[in-house]
Amino acid sequence: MLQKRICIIDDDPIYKLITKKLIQKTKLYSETIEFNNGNEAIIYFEATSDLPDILLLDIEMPEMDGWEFLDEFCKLEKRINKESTVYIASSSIAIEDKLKAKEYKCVKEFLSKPINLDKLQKIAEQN
Amino acid sequence: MSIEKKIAALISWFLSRPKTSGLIVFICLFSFFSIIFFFKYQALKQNEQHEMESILAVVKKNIEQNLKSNYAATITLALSIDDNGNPKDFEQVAKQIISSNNYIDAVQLVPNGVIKYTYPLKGNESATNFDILHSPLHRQAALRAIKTKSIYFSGPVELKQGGLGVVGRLPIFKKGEFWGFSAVIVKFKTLIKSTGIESFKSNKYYFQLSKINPITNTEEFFLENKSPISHKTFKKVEIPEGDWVLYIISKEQNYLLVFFPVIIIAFLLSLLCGFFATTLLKKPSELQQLVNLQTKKIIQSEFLFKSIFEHAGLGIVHTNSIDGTFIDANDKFCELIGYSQEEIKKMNFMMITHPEDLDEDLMNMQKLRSGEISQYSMEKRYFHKNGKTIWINITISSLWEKDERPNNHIAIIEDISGRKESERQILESQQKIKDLVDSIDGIVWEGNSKEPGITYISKKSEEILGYTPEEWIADDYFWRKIIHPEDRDWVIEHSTKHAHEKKPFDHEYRMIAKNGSIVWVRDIVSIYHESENIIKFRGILIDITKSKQFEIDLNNSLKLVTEQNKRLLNFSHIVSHNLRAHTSNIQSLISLIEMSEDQEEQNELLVLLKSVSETLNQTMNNLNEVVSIQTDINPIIEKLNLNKYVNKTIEVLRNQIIKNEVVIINTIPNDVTVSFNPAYLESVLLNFISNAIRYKHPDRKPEIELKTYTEDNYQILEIKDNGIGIDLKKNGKKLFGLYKTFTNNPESRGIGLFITKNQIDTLKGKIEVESKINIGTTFKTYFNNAPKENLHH
Repeated sequence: MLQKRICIIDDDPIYKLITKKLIQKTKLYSETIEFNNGNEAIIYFEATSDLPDILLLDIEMPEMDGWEFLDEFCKLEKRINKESTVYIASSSIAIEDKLKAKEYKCVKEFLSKPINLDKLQKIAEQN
Repeated sequence: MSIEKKIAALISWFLSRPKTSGLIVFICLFSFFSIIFFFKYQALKQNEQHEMESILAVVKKNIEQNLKSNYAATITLALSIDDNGNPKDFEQVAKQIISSNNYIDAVQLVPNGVIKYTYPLKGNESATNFDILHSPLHRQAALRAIKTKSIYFSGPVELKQGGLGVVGRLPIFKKGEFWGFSAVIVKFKTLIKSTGIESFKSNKYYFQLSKINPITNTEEFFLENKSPISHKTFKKVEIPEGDWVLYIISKEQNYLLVFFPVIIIAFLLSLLCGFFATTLLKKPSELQQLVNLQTKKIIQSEFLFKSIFEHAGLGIVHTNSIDGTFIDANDKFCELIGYSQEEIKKMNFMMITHPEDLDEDLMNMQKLRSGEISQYSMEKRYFHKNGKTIWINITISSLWEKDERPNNHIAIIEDISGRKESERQILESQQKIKDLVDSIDGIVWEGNSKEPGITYISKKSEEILGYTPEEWIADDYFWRKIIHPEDRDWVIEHSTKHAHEKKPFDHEYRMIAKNGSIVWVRDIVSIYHESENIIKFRGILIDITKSKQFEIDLNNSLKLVTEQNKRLLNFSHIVSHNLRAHTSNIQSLISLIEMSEDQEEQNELLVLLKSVSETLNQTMNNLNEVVSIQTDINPIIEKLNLNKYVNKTIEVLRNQIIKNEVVIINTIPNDVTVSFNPAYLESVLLNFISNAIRYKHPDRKPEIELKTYTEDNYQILEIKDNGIGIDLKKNGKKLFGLYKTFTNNPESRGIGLFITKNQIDTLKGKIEVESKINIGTTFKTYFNNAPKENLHH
């Protein structure tokens, strides 16, 4: 199985550290990229047009939150004619957020934190 | 009297028949003229007769005179004969005779009927020896003379010697024996001359002489103009000496002819008079006809009036205007007041008029008498004979002309008792309705769709709003004026819209009562079609101030609860999110530690776990701080000197201010106070000022400007910086949310503005933000001047 490139967009440094460790443990992903918020990520993607296979996106972030990022990202995907599979990974358990996530076609699934090995393996298998 | 009447009748008979009268005039006049003419004619005729007779007498006398002279001449001649029968001195005697008698032309002696002697012989020679007894022409006359033994004239006859003449023969007897004749010859011309008829010749008469022809035995005429005379007026006289008849004949054939033109004139005159009479009579006759026609009309109208008077459905009474006594009244009037005709005629109108109405009636009557009015009408009361009061409507018209003295008037009386009774009943029921309306616990009103203002409002207005119905009615825009200024525009707009659509409506608004208090009313308006074009609005204004107050209180409580609930929800959401973020990290770390077989890695993970638990603690503290605001809904409020707190905050931030070279411009006066909680005020000021420093612009020195002013019920604190600014379009909604940060500034916690906002909200203030990226941000804090009062709502 071909190894996937994964990207984490989250403002929580501890979460990012933990998730990176878990990703290494699965040995299913070839590369991991991380950003502190949506703004940083979109600037990078626009500049490089280098989209990862899988995106793990948080909602609550300073400067540009997950929703705002999705608006920009969906446009970018169309423009550069590339696609990524987006997973929302949020600590929120509010139903509104889950419903809102379904409105975005580019969002594959809404995942509640914590993200564990099983979930990461499933993601890898699905793609 | 009867004669006079007959004469009058006769005159009117004539007057009425102008043609007949004219004819009569003509006949009378013409008859009169005819009679006059007749008598005149008679007189004329008589006169003529007399004249003719006298002329004839004169002529006859002349003839007789003449004949006597002739006779004398013959005798004289005869005497010249001697006894022997021989004439003696015939010549001499004859000559004498002739000369003495102008009217004898010749004399003859005719012995034995033979002419022997003639004087003068000259011219008469042919007669000599003419035997007259044997002449058929003379024989008879000769014999007659012999027989009568007197002179007898023959002729006029054609003489033997020629010419027409008469011969007078006197038979001479000698010794009883016929001797012969002594004769005179008178020429006819001479004879006529001797009669003197020439002198009587005139235009009027002419003469004629006739004798019976002895041979033909017919009457023979000798004078000129021998036309028949039988039809003419004539007189005749017989002269026996010659058997002559002398006629005098009137030349006028008929007097009628003389009169004819006059008769014609008289006829025409009569005709003219008749015509004039006709014409003259015609005019009066026409006038008479007109008079007759008018009289007929008058009689008719009099009859009409009489029948109206007697049978009218209204009471009619003829009254003396001076003393008010009744002159005449019809049956209806009698029936109306219960008196008989006879009783009424002894009464006057003052006796039956109600004393309360009498003054007005008398005043009107005075005006009528003075000529100020010619008619008036009024409603008044009469006393019926039975003592009951009856209502009547009386119309009085004067019966005198303008320039006449007041005398009588006519009054028309209508019984209006029934109407008055219904009016009274209507008024009574109206009063009942009014009382009922006034007893309703709401202001009942009615208005017109076309004009502003109301037409009716019930008395309850005085009780509820303090305004009298009169105040309402007097001003068309009264309603608008007393609506609460804040509600006025929408209420008018709403009402106008519904009125236009003709839909009933129901709305609640505030009004300002007369005492200045605010009254909440519910106005329920219905549309009422009085007729096709007239639409009226009827409404009732109910005082709902009390229930409205409850409603407002309830709404306020609901709002508060909803707000708190919302905040609570938000809070719990945030709490769960933030706590879950940490707990999920802890969960992940623990599972990693369990999985790890490397001691070094485990230690590394434990450090991380410690760090997470610290962050969790921090979060718990923050949440505790927020909860304390949320739960303390009635914090202590004091009057705080704003400047004192600002200075205190600046002192707290002294190190940062110096480090960042912050310039603070404070224009807040020393005496400005705000009603706020001291701890909250410290927190609010600290948050704003520290934020202003934290989000300073990297290119310039921070500058913070503080000022204050009042607006409505608020004391406003304005804090203006020249920092990086906030994109309000993007982040405006989230600005005051919990854990919302918009920068990567590591000091951003996402909690300061959340708490500040909560503290200000709790004390009924508000925050406004103005910001431009790279220019700066201004926070305006509205401190409510009376936070406590409003806190109850």
